[in-house]
Amino acid sequence: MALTPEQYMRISAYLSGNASKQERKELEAWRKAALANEHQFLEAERIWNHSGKKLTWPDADVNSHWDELRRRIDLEAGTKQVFLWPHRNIIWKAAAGLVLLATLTYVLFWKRSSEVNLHSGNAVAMVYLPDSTQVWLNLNSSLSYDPKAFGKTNRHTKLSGEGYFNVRPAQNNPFTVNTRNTAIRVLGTSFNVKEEGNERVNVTVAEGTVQFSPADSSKQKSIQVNANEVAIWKADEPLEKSKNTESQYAAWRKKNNPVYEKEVQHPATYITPKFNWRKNAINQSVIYGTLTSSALLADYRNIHLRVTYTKNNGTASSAMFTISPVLKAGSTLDFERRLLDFFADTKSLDVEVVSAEVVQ
Amino acid sequence: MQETNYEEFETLFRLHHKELINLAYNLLRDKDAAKDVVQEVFFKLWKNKSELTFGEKIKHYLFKATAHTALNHLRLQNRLSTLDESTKEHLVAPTDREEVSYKELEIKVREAIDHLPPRCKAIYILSRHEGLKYQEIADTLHLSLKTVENQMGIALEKLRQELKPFLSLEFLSLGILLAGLTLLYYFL
Repeated sequence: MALTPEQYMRISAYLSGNASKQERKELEAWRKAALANEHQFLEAERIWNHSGKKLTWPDADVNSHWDELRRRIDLEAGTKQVFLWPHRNIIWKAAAGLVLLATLTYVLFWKRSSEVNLHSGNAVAMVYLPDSTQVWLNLNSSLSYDPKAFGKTNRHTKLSGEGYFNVRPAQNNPFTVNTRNTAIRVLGTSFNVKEEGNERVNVTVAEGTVQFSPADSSKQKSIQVNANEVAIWKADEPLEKSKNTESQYAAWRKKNNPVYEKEVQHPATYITPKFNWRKNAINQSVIYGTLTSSALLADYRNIHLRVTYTKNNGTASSAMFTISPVLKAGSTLDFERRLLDFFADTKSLDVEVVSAEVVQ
Repeated sequence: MQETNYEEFETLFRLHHKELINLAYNLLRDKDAAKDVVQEVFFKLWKNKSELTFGEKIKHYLFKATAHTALNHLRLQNRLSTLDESTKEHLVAPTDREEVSYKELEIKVREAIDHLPPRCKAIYILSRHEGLKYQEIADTLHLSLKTVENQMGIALEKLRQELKPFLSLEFLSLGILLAGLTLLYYFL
């Protein structure tokens, strides 16, 4: 009952619509010639009919794929222009064109170096440097560094505009931020640098200590700035230092920041519960676990949890709980709650975050 | 004009991404490989952009480049694995039906297709799923028409061999039915 390769070719050409009129006639005659032929044809047809299902990937993330491609193109280009604003949508189209033009003129002054220039453009952006230092850039600010040298014996960066730095501590690897007119040197700390043209630079320290000096260090020695202090450089004046009274100095990170907007609108996306449960001595379900925040800036409180539990007979009930303590951005909180299911034979239980308030 | 090309290029990418990812994924059944293939295609396009014009032809070019690059990847793939649960969820019919249900046989057929040699598999999929004519397949994969014809025959033969156990039972009854009908014909 075996078919020859030629016969398989003719059948597949017929089934796929690639057979000529003559070939179709010949095949149909062959089919009628013997029952065995018809049987074989039908088997082949059955296979053909059942092989139509395509594999698809409907939730392929075009945004992250585009980011990867863009990075590869930038690397190839050599100047490594990195645009940090969020994924393109209609809103950014016009702005993007303008900023691209502006940046391009700016870029023409850079030689083909291996320097990386990060521009924030029309939104607040956050990046991690190769040493895991976290940097927020305000609108139209930029940060640059040499990826080849960064982290080897020092971590040297140049800032234009305003940035907030969470520097990862690293022994014998000082982190420096140079603006046009000042130099800042740290070992591991959080601080805000605000440059106003050629007139003024403010450095406010949140945690840790920095050394602050004019770019031309022959003019004046550096001063040490500690937590909750602010140091100011002004053109042609000595450096000043005082206690910081401006508590909102880093609040700019929450404005014009689409990522922060999302953290505010959809807290449930950023809070992940992990839990376990057991019945205690009086047959109450005790739920205990943690809530972890993956938010970068938003601090949450009064987190509303919904617990859905099903009894042995299949019926489901739910209960709402509020976890009041503050869950700071990126941290974890413990919680424990008890259900009022003394008389129920609870068989399974699920916890989900419904909403939360954002600490302003 | 460097910057206009960049924007146009991104628009092009976003416009064709879904179709090309699905084509690559259908051929390779590997999400990472599919992503790499599409990236390679567009990266090459970017590097050669001075030689190409963005027009209706670009869609054609992208399709062929993706199929061709996927075939190269297929040749490097040595794994033969069965479909896992997540893959089963995304089997859809080539028409616009939002098809989700599937039969055992269809899964078995799909597995058998994935067991075909690389060139053979690519040709079969382009014919059966993308509806390309033999000559179009030959152009896309840079093969001769004769090769495509041969390989289609080989595909059917190999599929039939692998699927025999799943077809025979069903045909026992069909065979009886046909025999019965033929007998009836002779007696009437």
